[in-house]
Amino acid sequence: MNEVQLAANEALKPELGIASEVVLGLLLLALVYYVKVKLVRNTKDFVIANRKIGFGFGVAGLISIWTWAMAVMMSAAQTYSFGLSGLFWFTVPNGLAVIAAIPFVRKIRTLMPDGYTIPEFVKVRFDGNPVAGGVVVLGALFGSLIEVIINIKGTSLVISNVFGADPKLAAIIGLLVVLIYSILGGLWASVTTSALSTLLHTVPSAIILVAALHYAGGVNSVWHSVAAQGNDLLSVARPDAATGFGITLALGLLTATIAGQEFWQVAWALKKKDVSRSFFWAGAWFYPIPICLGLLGLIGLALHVNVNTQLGGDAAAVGPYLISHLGLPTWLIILYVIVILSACYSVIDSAFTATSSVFVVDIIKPLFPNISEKQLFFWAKIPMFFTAIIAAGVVLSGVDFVTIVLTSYAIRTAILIPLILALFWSRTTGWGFVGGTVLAIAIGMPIRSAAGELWGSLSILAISAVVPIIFGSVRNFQFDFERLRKIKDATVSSEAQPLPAD
Amino acid sequence: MPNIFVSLPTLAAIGVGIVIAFFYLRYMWLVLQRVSKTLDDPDDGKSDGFAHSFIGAIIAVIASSLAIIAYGFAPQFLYVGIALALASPIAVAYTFRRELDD
Repeated sequence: MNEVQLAANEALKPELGIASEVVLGLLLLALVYYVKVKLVRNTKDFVIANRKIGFGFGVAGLISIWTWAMAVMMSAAQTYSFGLSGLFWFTVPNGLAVIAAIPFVRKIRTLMPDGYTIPEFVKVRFDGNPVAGGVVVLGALFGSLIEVIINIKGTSLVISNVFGADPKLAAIIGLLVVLIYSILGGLWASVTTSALSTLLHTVPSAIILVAALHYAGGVNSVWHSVAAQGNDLLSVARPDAATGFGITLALGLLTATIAGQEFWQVAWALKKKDVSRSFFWAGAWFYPIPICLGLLGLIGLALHVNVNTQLGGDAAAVGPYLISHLGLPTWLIILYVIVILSACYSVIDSAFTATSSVFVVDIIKPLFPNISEKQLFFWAKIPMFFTAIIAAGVVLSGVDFVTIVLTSYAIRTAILIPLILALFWSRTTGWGFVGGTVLAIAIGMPIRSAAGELWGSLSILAISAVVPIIFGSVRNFQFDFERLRKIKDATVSSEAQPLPAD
Repeated sequence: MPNIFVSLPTLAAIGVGIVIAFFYLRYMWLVLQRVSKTLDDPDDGKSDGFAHSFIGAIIAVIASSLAIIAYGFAPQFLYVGIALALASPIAVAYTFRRELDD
């Protein structure tokens, strides 16, 4: 493998990186313009796509919404760190998390066919308990904000590392691009651009990997170099991958789908007959993306890339580093950047839409129940704007956003089991829900910082399960799930508006 | 072979990719047009099927695990992931096609 020389591509100028962001943005904007003219007439179209998302857009949209920039880069990073065991523990729980959401989204769609958000469900389920509703609203907004921050950070890191562009400028341009098309089309924009992104995650990845393997000396050379290093790098049975990150990651992923507003809103936006099969096909056909891109981690191992001297101490950089240093033609490097950018954009737009639906349904509507459709449609766009400003502020100021990440993580993990109980166990009470969530955070987070992620997560899950069960067992309360079915559609306040094109 | 296309396998992947992208975008566009015409149609009332999804889920998890395990068997199996990445948009294009037929 010694004959492979890793060197930076001199043609990669900052302008090229910024241009990649803008060109991709313009392409998505053109699609969204059509969507806005043809499909977006009122608030219901904007926040829930009029519940008309079918099988195709459901599958394509979900795949891309689930493909974070992290999924693109971390599949290679975990393979590079743990060999095939890393790829196994990264990939298998990822697709499984989407598939595991099926019983829950199916249940919620049956129980509450006209729903929009998790907080809306929680408020009705617990007789308007303001604390339960408040905790879930906070969790949903924090969760979406953190998704925007992480993915915009991913955008700026890739553009600055590969092209040497100013990371702050790259972040602002990325945010602006997604904000503009999200404000134009809401959930329809998110789903249709995500469908296009799914194509960009798959075909280009395959082409890039064929070329990368060629430049790395071919499959024989790469495979034998990794095999010669021993250390079970070509086995999926290394226990340190499971204990090092696999189990914790699996729990986190399950939390992200089952308690994530981004997934619930798609469940409510899909045509009823397409809910289960869309989630299943999305989980199944998401798998090839990390399986393919994980090969970059094997190439990194084969070429003995050094994590400290060549990757700045961060294994996540192995993919971008190899692509920009293997000697690939510039157009292939740009294609790889577009794979990552499209992953970032599709997650950010779904997070924007999630903040919009929570804001409209759980804040504006309860405060101003007689608000006109026109005003509601206007207010649906405001939270996207504020989320973008806060995310830009966090990324530009360079503040450590670990606290936001931890808070968001804690709330979502703590909500998971109480939410499942609320869906399936009629004896779950509002105060059991609140007590379980709050105590799980209060006790579990210190355990997490003292004993590590695995024990912390398990503690949060255990406490959040035990407390609502105790509350529910003690009180003689039975919730009538039929009440959920009678909930009126929250955004329907007037007759449907005519098509803008008309 | 011009260096811009890297190698014959890369050129082949580009060719296959273009064909897949063409059909993917075509079906996506057709569905988009159909959605715009049927936006206010009432729900057809069909119920959501779960049994096939459950069996399929087990198969998907096993198949993806096998694909990763296969990487460790022999160098040629490294192409499995690339083939799957090309199969994924074909499957999604099929879902668009199914939506048109529904």
